This record gives sequence, structure tokens and C-alpha cells, in this order.
Amino acid sequence: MKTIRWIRRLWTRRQVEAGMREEMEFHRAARAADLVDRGMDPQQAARTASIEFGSVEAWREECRKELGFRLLDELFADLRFALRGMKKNPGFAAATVAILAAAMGVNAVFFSLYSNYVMKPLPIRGVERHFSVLGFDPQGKSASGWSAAEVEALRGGAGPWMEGLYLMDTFQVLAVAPVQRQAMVTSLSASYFPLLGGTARLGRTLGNTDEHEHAAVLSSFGAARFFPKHANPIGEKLRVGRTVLTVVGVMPPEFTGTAACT
Amino acid sequence: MPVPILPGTLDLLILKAVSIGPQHGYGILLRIEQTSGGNLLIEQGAVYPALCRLEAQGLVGSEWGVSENNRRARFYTLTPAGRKRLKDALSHWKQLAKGMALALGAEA
Repeated sequence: MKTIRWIRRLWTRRQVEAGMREEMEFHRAARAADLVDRGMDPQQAARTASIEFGSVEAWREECRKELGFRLLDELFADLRFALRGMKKNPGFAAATVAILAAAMGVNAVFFSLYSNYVMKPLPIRGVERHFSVLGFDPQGKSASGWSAAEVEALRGGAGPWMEGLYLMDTFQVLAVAPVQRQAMVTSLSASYFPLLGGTARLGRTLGNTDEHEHAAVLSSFGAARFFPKHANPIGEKLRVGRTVLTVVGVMPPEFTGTAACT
Repeated sequence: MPVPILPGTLDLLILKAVSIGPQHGYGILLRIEQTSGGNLLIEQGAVYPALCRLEAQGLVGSEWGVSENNRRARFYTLTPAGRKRLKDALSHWKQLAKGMALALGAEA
């Protein structure tokens, strides 16, 4: 309701301003008339009424502030000042705009990276209960990964309440005859999908029965890249090195596995 | 000798003055002067920003009319929201005045 009243006042601002002026003039005239009735000289009465009232412009400015006009007035005054400055020195203005635009662009890029990697939780089931294990050698250098035997040893040492999944990301040449392209291929343990809780958009995910099968699940991006003409690439073949895999599923775009983004 | 009003009390004085009947800005000042027995000193122009504030809050309404001197003037009236605010503010003021009087009286 307040906003509607404010918009209405803004819409009829000229009348509001004229009314303000007329109202204050009326006040001074009425006061002067009162003083004349009390025996004061008319000229002296007008002067006294004017002094008693104070600065009309200052009170009008106060009224504008109360009516919510001042913020807009200051904004437009700042804009006018900025435009005059730009017109006066266009080279400096262009350089300033370019620097600000570049700074904002860089800031936006870094913030989206930070937001994706640090602030947003991974879109997987029970994400707060997942953690990754990093290894360091005696020299303090981080190990590039774990061997299957090491993973089994780690899992054996933990309690029965802990489940683990194993994955290995590698860049491989992936071939969908006759095209060959390099792509990130992730080799997974059978527990990967049951633990993360992903649901395939097409086909199915991998489970325990697929452990020794040559089956592949594509990301949404991968399906579009390798099978651009197939609405449903389930059953299609692709080759990684010498291994031929059959596509059994395609994940939805929001599924990124254990990575912040695909 | 009139004394300046306490900060923040002008709105309450205006609401009270307008509650008696529709009045223009100058008339509101005269009404306050009259009802206070000439004990309160109010800057004459200060009544207009206060009226703008009260109108923006929907506590008073206004319309143009003709004054006793046959001049066009803006007359202010109390809205239902203003009446409720006046009731609450009066009750608050009475409690405050009572508390202040007790506290200062005890100190003296």
C-alpha cells in the first residue's frame, strides 16, 4: 500500500510540488494576516511571518525526503554528473568502463568457480557423509592414486559401517567408428552408483552384476558429443583402447558424480 | 516562556490536533499552541515535513478546501490507521510521562 501511494505521488510529482509551495505560501500569508490583526504593520508582518517560518526551500527539501523523492533526485543528479563527466572526457570514460567491465567479468568467473567447487554441495545422496582419502609419501608429496590392493587394505581396516567406492579418471582415446576423440574416462567400482544414488536418464546405471562386463554409462555431455545423431544411444558400441564397451545408460545433465562439474 | 518540544513528539501532537477535526497546517499549529496553553515552541515550517511523513505513512489524509480567509488551503484529516496510532502513542506517552515523573520525583 505504501509503495502504491509512493508511485502515485511520483506520478503526480508536479502537482505535489506545486501543492507544497502553495501550502507554505498560504501558511505565511495566514500568519502575516494574524499579525496584522494584532496591530502590526503589513510589511513588518510579512517579514516577521517569513522569518518565523524559516527557509521555504529547506522545508520543501525536508518534505521531499519524507515523501521518498530525495533518493531518486540524488540518483538522477549523480547520473547527470556522471554523463557530463563522460561527455567531457570520453577517452578516460571508455578506459574506466573497460577496466570496470574486465574486473567484473573476472570477478564473475572466479565467483562461479568458487561457488561450484567450494560452496555448492555435490548433487549426490547423503553428500555430508562422503569423504575422499588422499595419500602422501614419506617426502610429503601427494600420491596420484591408490592401487586396488591399497583400497582393499583401507576398507578392511575400517568398520562395517563404512562403504567405499573406487574410481580412476584418465584421458583416453575413445572411438565411435569411424571417429576417434580424446575424452575423460572414469573406471568405476561396482559400488559407485549404488553409493552416489544417481538415476540414469536413459537406460540404467552400473551395479554389482556389471563388474566384469564391458559396459559404459555416458554423461549427458558425452552422449551429445559421441552420439550427436542418436536420440537414444543405448546398445551402441564404443572403443577405449582395445576394449569395446556397450552403452547401457546415459546420466542426466545435473549428475556430476564426485566432481563439482563435468 | 514556551519550551521547544521533545524530539519525536511533533507527530503525536499533530495527530492529536487533527483528531479534533480537519485542519490546515497553520491551523494545526494554532491548535497545538492553544491546547498546550502556549507552553510549547514549534518551528513553524517543521509541521510540513511532519505532515508529509504522516501522510506517506497513511496516518493522515488531505484534500484541498477553502480556509476561513477564503483562500485555497490543504486540510488534513485523521485516517483510521492514524486514529489507532494516536491511541497507541497516547497510551505509550502516558506511561512514559508517569515513569519519568516518578523517577525524577524520587531523585529530587
